[in-house]
Amino acid sequence: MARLVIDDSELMLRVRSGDHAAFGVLVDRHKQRVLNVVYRYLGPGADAEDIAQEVFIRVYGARRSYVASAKFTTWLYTICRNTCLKEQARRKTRRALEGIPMGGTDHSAEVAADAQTLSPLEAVLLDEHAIVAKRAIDSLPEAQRMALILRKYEGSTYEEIAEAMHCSVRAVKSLLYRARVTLRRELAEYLELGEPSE
Amino acid sequence: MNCRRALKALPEILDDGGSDALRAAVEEHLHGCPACRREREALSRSWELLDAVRAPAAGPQFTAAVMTRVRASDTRGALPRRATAGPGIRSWWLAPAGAMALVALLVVSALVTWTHRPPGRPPTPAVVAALPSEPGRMPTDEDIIRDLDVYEQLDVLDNLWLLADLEVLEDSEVEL
Repeated sequence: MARLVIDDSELMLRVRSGDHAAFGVLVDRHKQRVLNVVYRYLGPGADAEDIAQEVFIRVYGARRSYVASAKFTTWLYTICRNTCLKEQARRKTRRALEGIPMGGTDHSAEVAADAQTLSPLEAVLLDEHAIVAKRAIDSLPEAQRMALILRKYEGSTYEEIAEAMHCSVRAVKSLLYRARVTLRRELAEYLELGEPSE
Repeated sequence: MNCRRALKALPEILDDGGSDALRAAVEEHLHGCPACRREREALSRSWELLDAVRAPAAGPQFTAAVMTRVRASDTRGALPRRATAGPGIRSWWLAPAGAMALVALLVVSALVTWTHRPPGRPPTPAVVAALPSEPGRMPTDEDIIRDLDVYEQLDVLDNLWLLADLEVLEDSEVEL
């Protein structure tokens, strides 16, 4: 007997009506997706799972503003992005208060710092390639980074990214173009690609 | 198509293929241009390297933890703070206690400032300048102009004995 799968929008409408069980199904269905975005956006050594939970708490808090015309995952990514931005701002403030310099180009020092803060599980997950790639992603401006994550890892369409990021499809294409060019430049030395052609 | 246009089109083609016409034009250019072929390879490899960034799997208690917080929020009528956060700042006793502490701090600061104030008029820049143990406190031009009479008097005092000697000498010359 075929099992009936209720789509996300229907579940969210049930949540809006006070159905807790429906929300549990949604969380279960999308928890890994949200954790992926949070982890790739904010990086290792962080309480990514805690922040991913925070995303769902915000989704629940905003349940009354959900309208079925919006694709649930697009709406979810919007909340996810806002939560990541808020967390990033909080971290910047904390780093500033603690006198830790931000930015910088000494990746080896950052990798070493990462290695000290990684859990054993993260250390296994993050091999050298991953650390270098993550540093390259981190070097991107916020909008390029989020567009890249949604496109590369979540397989979102230009239209979905545009909706989640509140910008035009043309702007998304431009962000992805610049992200690719920046990544190619950032990774040139590591991949022994040579200097970009003019 | 020239190299500049081909390089500009490459990211778009790699991302979603681009239009048939654009792709055909770029492919034709790449066929005869090793430099642009290398650039396409570089863009592809740097994009593929991103696959190495893997996220950990969500913990088994993820959904349960979220649902616990959601139920708690419904019970209390407001969403709780993150589990890692400290005690809520809205504890009933904390707001008045904080206000009282602030008032006490202000009173103490005012008392300390009052009791440690210098007696009488603050020292003039000339006096300050004469003190050897105050590095970094130099009189400004405004200070000097305002206290010019003091400086002149100090000059007179410095030369008082010289003036007196000169006066004596002049008097003796007159007598001679």
